[in-house]
Amino acid sequence: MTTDTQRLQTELGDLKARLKRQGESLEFLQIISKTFVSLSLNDKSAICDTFNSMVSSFMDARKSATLLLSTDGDGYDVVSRQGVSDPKELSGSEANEVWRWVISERIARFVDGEDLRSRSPSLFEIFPDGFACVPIDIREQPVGLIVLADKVNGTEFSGEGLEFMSAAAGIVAVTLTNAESHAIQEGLIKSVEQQAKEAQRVAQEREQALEELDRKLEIIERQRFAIQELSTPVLQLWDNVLALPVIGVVDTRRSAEIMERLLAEITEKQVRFVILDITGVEVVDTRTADHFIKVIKAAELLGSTCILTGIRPAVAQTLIEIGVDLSSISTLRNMQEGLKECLRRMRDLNSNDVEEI
Amino acid sequence: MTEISDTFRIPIIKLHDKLIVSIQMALSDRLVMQLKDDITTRIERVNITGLIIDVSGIDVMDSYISRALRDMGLIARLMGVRTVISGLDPMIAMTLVEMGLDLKGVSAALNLETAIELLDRKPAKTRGKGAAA
Amino acid sequence: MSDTRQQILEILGGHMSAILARSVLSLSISWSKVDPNRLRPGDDNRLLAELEKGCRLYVRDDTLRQTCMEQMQTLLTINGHTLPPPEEPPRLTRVPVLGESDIVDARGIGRLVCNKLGFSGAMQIKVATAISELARNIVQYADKGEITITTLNGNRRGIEVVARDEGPGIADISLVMSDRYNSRTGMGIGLKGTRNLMDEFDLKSTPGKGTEIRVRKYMD
Repeated sequence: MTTDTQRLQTELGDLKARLKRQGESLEFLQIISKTFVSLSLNDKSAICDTFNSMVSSFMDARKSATLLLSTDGDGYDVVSRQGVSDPKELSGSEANEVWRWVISERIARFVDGEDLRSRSPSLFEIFPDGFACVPIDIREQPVGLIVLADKVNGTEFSGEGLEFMSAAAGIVAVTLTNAESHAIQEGLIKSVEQQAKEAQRVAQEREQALEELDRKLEIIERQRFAIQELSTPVLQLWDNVLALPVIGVVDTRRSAEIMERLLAEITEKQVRFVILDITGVEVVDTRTADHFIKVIKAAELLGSTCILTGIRPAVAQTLIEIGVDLSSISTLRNMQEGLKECLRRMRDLNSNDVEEI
Repeated sequence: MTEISDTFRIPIIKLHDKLIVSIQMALSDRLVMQLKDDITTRIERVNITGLIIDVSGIDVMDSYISRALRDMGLIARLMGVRTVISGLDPMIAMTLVEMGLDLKGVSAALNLETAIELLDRKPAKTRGKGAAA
Repeated sequence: MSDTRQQILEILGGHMSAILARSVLSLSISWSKVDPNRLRPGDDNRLLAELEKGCRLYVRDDTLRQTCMEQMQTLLTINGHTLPPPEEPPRLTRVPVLGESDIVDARGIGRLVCNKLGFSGAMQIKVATAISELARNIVQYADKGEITITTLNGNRRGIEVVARDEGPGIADISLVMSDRYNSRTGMGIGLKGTRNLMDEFDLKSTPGKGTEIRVRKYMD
């Protein structure tokens, strides 16, 4: 009776301990899943690391490792480890054989030291007391495993421990799946973002190119204007002699500008003679000719004599053909002749003559 | 706008053998006619050989004023006096040319000084039009 | 008044050749449509902006260019502030033409309006001359009439002058405006001259009722 009572009491104590232990496991699993959710880990190795340290500490295992199927599918990579010095020993061909074997069972199990010694001496050296392991299944496919060994108090891995490991592996699997889909999602988002950025960059580049083009066009426009400005210099050739070499196309606007500028210069510098040199003018039409005549007449109204020089043969021909009357205007071969004439007239002026309009 | 009284006359100054008229105001038609009469009278009374009309202060020169100035020059010439117009504003000169107006028969000078110089020289003989412009 | 143009040229001349300086200045003036000697509020900045563009072409060194710009800014600010703010010209001005003395008034008012609008000196004289012709036309042929000066603020800034009278009218407009016609008083010359000076010229006349001449001159 006493023995029975004692036995029952022991059993009850065991049961209570187991119950307590299971409660703890459950609580721990909840903590794990919460941790994963709150950490929102998306990196496989980070997930496995966290999991590995949690499970090993809960199971009081000194040695632990989490392995995942390598990308080529040939073997297993060590993603996380504790208490195992060299990861290479865990991922050699011999070790891989063992992992494939334990995973094929598809359940959490314990491999004892003797069994291990016969299968892999190198693994036996790491785990002389054997190890407990559990496969990680994603969509019914084993993608890796968790290995725990060397319990702190020297005890063996119980059935409860293996159950706990199974549950934990389930959580890891779910987390990994989430991470994977999250990664895909993330990837998609990233690629969309990338595309958007790229599009924005292209748009920006275009805009910059356009701005640059605008700026260049403006510079060209300004330079054109500057060249035009510079191409009509009013030169003081001599005392009382201004020269205006006209180069290029003379349109209405430009001729008005030339006219205003020349007349202003005459008044400002008070010069008696102006040489209007049109060697640089290739084309003359009625209007251009008319403008030249106007400039000359206006200059004369101010009291300055204007001489037209450098009429090209083609221009002279055109002028006669279109019937422009330049008979009232002094015309000379070139600027030198023009200057000579001015000097001669100045001499005349100083001696006697009076010019009449 | 400067108010000019109805009896105002543009002063005509005699300097040696010249008459100098300096117009420093907007010319009304009355002033123009008055000036024409005054100049003619003065030329008749005093012995001069040249007339200088300085227009540096004129506001505009329309067809009437330019015609009047030309007339003054022509009248003076008939009476043996040469006329020089001086100090025309370049913008007014341009306007005249664009309107198709001219001051034929009157010489032009850049300023009063050159106008005097111009008149002090011997009168021009009949010269070839082409060379003299 | 001191010549701001000259002062700007001196500053620019310290950084580039004289001919380039002139080019940059005249370029900037023509671009900004600002007369440095008649600065209105805001003009200084517009002119400076253009000057800077010009300087960018010829003054490569950033520090030098900045110094140059600062000098010009100081100059323009000082010169700009000595002038009173611009008076907007009235949109419409009526000048009755009742006698010969009104001709001078009419062209004087026209010139003033052009000046306030910012017309160049040459343009002011052209408009004033045209008004003088139109007013004289009224005095000589219709005794009295009216000249209306309207500022144009649309796409093209400018001025419109309308001369109206209830005189005898012109029987043959094309004859009056032809090269052959030359009236005793020079009306043909005056009207043809006006047409040459203005950008737009429109003459309407009904014998016995009167004449209306409408002319326009634009700023650009």
